[in-house]
Amino acid sequence: MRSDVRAPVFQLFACCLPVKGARRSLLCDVQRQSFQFIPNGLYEILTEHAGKTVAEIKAAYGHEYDEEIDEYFDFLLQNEFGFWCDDPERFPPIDLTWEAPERITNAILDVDARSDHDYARILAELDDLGCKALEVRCFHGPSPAELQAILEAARYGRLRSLDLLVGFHPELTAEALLDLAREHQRISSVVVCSAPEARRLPPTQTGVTLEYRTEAVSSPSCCGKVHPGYFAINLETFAEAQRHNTCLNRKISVDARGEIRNCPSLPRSFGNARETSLHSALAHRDFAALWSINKDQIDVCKDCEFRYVCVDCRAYIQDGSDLYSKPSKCAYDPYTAEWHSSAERPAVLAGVQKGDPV
Amino acid sequence: MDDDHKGELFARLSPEGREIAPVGYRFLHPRATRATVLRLVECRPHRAVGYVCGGFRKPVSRCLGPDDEI
Repeated sequence: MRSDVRAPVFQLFACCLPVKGARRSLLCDVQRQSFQFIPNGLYEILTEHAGKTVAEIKAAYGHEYDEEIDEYFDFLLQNEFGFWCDDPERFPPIDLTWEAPERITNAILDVDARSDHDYARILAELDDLGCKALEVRCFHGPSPAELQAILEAARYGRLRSLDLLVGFHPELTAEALLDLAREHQRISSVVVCSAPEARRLPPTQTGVTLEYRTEAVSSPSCCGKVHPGYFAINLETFAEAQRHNTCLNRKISVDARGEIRNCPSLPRSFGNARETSLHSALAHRDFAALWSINKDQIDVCKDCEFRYVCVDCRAYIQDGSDLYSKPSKCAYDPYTAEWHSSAERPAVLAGVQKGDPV
Repeated sequence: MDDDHKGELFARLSPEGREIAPVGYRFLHPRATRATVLRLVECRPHRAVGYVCGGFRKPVSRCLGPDDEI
């Protein structure tokens, strides 16, 4: 029997990624799309003392926290965040490099009663750019026929998901919307706003969610909300968040008037879709400028434990003169680990002001 | 795997096995009569704990507040 056999060490599953916050940390499980809060002490053990045996870790803390350390490992084991092993070198960490072959991965198309979009052209250009996810926001209450016209333009192509956010129209019954979803299987969710009553239908067999909400969404200024319902705990978002902006990276938008922007809430236009192709807007030197503002650079967010699962906003920020300012619609304070209900401070637009030359 | 098939498999699990949260199953052997039903590592995603995120991808825009009371 060999005498140099090392005691086992605790190894996190590669999909379980700890994130340190100012007051507490998060253990994100990007496989299960879930997270647990952990104390910063456990974060330290998992990162600074990774690869050490329990005895070594206990010794490193002068045996002051032996009981707590045992509890920590029980918690990790019980919640299936990791396992004991003799050969941790066989379990390398996940490579968090983010790359995408598409020039554009997601897009927003805004529509209102006065919109005059050439849907076929816009959708064809988005397809050409490789866009996978599209959200169509109809701020008025479109009739099923109007929706059908938009969806017809998205019938073919590479889109993987189409989210619809529409104002209430009496003809937008659940049956009518489900019929649309059956016909256009790229639809992944439908939300009807300003509905007389809130109602959520169980997901269809193909996973389409349909929801009626009483709140009104009448303009792009409703966007930019930050709350746990919008957290995305998956490897793609987590990896993207390391170096890129989780909202604007590889995004293009066409607002209700046809102006091409990074996001409909941002003031800078890169031309109108009637005269400018999405390709040429994208080729503009400034178009991708905001793509690389990541959460590790943003004031307050850089100390937040949710920073790699939270989707950022650069349109509504606390200090309009500082591109790295905290999103103004975020009510979370990572220094106290509390959500404040006075969520929405007056919105401030970042960057250039409306009316600036294109 | 259709529901009937799943039901049949479930019935063949041990009582302890049935206690574990529902997971995916797989035949190791092509012939059903000799099949060994295993709970696999693949079942791990189904046993999420803590705060679980509903969506599979990040939202494109974020206009809605926290869930309405429904």
